[in-house]
Amino acid sequence: MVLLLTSDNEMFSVAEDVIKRSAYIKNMLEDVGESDLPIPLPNVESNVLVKILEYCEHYRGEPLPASDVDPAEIGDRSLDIADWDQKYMAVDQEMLFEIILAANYLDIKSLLDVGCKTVAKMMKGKSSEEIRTLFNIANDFTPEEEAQIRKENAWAECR
Amino acid sequence: MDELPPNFSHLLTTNYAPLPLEEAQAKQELQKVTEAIIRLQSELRLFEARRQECLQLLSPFRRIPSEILGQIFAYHSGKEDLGTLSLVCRNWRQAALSHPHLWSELTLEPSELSYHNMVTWLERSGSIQKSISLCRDNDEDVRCTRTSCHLTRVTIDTLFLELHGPRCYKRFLNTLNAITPEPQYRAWDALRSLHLMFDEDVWGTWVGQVVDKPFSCTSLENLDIEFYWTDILNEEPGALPEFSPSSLALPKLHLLRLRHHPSLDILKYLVTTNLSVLDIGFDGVCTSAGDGGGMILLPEQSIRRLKEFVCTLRTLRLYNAVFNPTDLCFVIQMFPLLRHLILDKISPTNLTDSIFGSLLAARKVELAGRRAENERSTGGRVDGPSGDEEARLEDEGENTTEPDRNRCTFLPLLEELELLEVEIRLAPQNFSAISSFLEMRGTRRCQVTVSFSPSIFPGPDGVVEEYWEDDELPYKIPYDSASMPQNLGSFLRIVPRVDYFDP
Repeated sequence: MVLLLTSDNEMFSVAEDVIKRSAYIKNMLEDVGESDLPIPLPNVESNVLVKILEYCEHYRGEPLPASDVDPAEIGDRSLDIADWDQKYMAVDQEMLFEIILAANYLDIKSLLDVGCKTVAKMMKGKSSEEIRTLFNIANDFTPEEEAQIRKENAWAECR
Repeated sequence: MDELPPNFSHLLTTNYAPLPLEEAQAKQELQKVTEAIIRLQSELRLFEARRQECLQLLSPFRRIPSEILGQIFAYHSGKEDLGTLSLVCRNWRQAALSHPHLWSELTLEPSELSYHNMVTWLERSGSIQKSISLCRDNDEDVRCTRTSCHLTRVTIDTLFLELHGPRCYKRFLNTLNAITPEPQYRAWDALRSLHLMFDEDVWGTWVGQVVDKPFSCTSLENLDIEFYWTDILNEEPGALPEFSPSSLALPKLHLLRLRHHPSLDILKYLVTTNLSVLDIGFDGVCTSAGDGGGMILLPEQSIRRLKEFVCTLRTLRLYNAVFNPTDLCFVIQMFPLLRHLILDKISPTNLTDSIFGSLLAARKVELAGRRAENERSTGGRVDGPSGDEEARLEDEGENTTEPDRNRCTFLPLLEELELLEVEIRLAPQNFSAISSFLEMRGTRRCQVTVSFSPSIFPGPDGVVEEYWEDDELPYKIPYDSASMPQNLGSFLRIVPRVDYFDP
């Protein structure tokens, strides 16, 4: 078993084969070897870790994805998400982004992918204004900047 | 807020007209209340704005680092999507700009061509390979000239060009030539992949236009030419216009993919020393009147050219045709160094035979012919490896010693054989033929992959047992695992049929 200590000081005891889906923990275990000391996770709160462990538990025993792929250069750009993953990600925005950040911190590539896909799906087909409203994002462009970007995006013939 | 004066109560419960004094009082009251509402509404707007500011401060997106934003953006492709994302806020724009791969592909319609925008867009991809897809539209004159003008100033690695036909393509090349400022630089020169799609009947004249000088891409590694179906095959070949171009030199060409029969003409002119993958799709063409030399299947000059690829070609894929087995055998045997052979949706002219069985039978007939020829020419004396010897090795099967079997010359180096979309009723014949082929090869291993039409599923012992057709109940195919040739087990892989027209 592996001991994990969250940022709000909660201790979790997790089976090694479950938490090894996290490349961060896996590498740490390989580097440090067996230890009774808990692994501190200062960037993960207990409620988020519970959710992360639910994912790792569900995919327990499944092969780990290759780690040498640059996530920004993913080949498969399909927005299809497996049924279980969709249900898993049916959480409020705050939790959704906490999961993404935790997956990034813990280096759980497949979970990070699902999180990014979920957010990408939420944005699909929406205008810039609708995206701002959906995610409470401030429009910090000056009117001149915005006009310039709109001009760059205008693909109609201008010869 | 104060309540209405008590003297109003009798008025509120009736419809009596108020006295002038009461009316004045009511108007005063109305103004007071209206002002209060306006003040409260203004206050509410302020609160709403402050609430929105707080929400924006707490927006989870503020904590998302640029690399994760890039990963989210990667699921959005196309200029519209990226344009929208770049307009959300400065952070997002910066994140998009710092991920070059997002900007390396561009799909345009002719009306969208703008040199400035195209260059701005593609420059953001830095040193990453760039790909442009240009789709056809109805105004082909406008399209051809405009496209060419813009392409001369952009260095691209991959070009998908979807055109009406050869006339359009010719204009495209002419414009490209005419406006290229420096003759030593051509927009084509950096191309590594070129995909040409024509959607009209182009038989006979198109090759000349494709082979035109601007096309000679010295860096081209992948060439993909596709025609939509035309009824050209019903015409008399003799009635087609002649064309005598110079050769087409593509020294680095590695993969050539040709779709539909007219595109095969390019084989007549192609000069290359590196071609390792040849993939030909035939529109379901039937070559029942085969001549044994493959010339019904492929143009005569193509056969001669194909012989020049003998040393380099490692993968051959033939798709969607009914073949005379003798022709098929002839074509395949032109490439004795093949490592990977794919016969996808290929049937023999005798539809009751398996394709691979027919192929082996044709091979035997050919060897017998060579044996007879040898006997005639040498008076029975045999010098070195001959058709006679090959036939003996392939005929004798189990009685042949291992070193002998390893000398069999039919596809001697083949490592992977794929028979795809095989008719389910011909499964036993195909399995027997594959088994004979593996037996003939002795210790030289070859992985065999088979898919069936209709689709089947491997049974519990890894052998085909049943399949589903539409929504009906499972059927047993007329073949059982007990009679499966022993040597197939570890080399045979049965895969589901892939439901697409042409991979």
